[in-house]
Amino acid sequence: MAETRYMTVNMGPQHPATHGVLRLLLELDGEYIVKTTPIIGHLHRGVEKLAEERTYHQFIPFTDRLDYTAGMNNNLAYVMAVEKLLGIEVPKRAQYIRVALAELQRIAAHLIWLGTHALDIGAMTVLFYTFRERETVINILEHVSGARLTPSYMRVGGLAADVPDNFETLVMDFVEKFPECIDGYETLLTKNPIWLQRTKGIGILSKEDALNYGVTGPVLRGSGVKWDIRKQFPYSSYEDFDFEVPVGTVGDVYDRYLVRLEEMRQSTRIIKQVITNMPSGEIMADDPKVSLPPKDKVYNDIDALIRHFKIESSGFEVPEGEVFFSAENPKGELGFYLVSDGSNMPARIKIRNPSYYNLAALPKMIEGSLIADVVTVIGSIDIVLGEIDK
Amino acid sequence: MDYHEMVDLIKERFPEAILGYKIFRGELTIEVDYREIVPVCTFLKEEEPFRMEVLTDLAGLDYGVEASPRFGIAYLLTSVEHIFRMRVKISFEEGTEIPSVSGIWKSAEWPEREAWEMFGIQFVNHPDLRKLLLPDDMKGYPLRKDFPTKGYHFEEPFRV
Repeated sequence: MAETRYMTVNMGPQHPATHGVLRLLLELDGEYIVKTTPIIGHLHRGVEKLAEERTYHQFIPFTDRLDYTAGMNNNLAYVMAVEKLLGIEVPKRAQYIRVALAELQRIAAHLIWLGTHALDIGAMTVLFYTFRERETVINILEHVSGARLTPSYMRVGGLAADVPDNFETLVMDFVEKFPECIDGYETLLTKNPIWLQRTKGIGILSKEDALNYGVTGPVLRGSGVKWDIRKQFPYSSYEDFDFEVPVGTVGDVYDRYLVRLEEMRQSTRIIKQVITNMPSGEIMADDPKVSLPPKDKVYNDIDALIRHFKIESSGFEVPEGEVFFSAENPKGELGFYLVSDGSNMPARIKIRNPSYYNLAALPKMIEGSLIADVVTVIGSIDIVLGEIDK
Repeated sequence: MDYHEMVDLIKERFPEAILGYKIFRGELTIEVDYREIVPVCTFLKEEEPFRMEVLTDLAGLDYGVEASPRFGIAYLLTSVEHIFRMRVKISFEEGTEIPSVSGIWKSAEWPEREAWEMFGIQFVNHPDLRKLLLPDDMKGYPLRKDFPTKGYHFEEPFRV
């Protein structure tokens, strides 16, 4: 009786379609995949260990570099976790600006996803159009925060500085013309027979599996579970805005594609509401422990100088306890579990990274598929290795 | 149903396993005896009024070299059906064998591997306990409080 041995093929850490340094060991029976083992850790930077020797404020730039396509969203999740631990309230204007920037960043991240996913499957044209729109968004983010990809713009208690005067005009101009751009991408892909053949019925993840594996974000919604942190545990004034949460039915690659496209449209809707209803006011909380005094006071008043020095050099002390806060990122639910021992540095920060859990479900999704489908499914779960490896 | 009623329900079912609970910033954290973690988690996953089908996160903790018990694990559970969250914590000494919850939630597999490689927490009944993020030949447990941030071989040239 012949013994069956499977061939093991390595999809190495260097690969144009793995969206980063991901290594997959594929055991193949001909062209069909029997078992997959993802091997991660090539981008591990020890962020959680470094956090234990830095103040809460000094950790903000590390959060930019987790999911480097969604810097503003990561900043927001971390900063709100610290604010929850401190128990401080952020002014309305800062909350609205945070929502606008987070949704703009969501559009930018989904545009990268769409361009690269279509490119992996072979539709090269889409990339050029999505990156053209993304340039407009990134230019707005650079105008506001100074950097395209690593903004570090949110602060504990509010924002680093107020937005420039032409922010609202720039954003409204973008938001007026963006829905037709999404229609343009749809004409290229949504009813394209090649796209349908490559994505329908591929990489199916059932509802029970999705919940058991802890996947979140568009992957979970594509499998039919209506779960969006912005609706179930609203934060930063999301309850003031009117938007839909798109849900798929089958849980295949095509469903996730439709979910993300619709999310881009809903983000545009949220941004329009934010800009039309933008309140005026402060952008930093009134708490003397976290907010810096105004510069003219610092130069003239000794108490303000002392407070400025204390906050800049050793940060603020945080009550003892632990807290978990999560936000809806473009990739899924990014959460920060902060454990504080009462000092100015965290005792433990555990990052609940969405792509980590989404990738753990990959072997389940591609069991029994062809090798060509591996690339399609990796693109559809939209992983970023910076987030997985921390 | 408020948090105190929930804790009473769990205490009724597992009188010795629940060592305490805390409510801070609107979150419920219950302390459980580490020997009973699998029955408690199975109860929380399957029974009403909890139905916590999702294990959102599993974090290893090191309370410090002097602390006793030294290590801990925090399980963050989410109920999608009833829309609420709860944290379950266990604490234990070094070298204790902890039952794995990956039989209850598949999402526990990778975080338990990470807790093992970062803290040295020994899990039993884990399907595939090997290093996840760190190089295979690395020694030591990096996230422990007595492991230096720069590591042990920082000054040496990198060997290829």
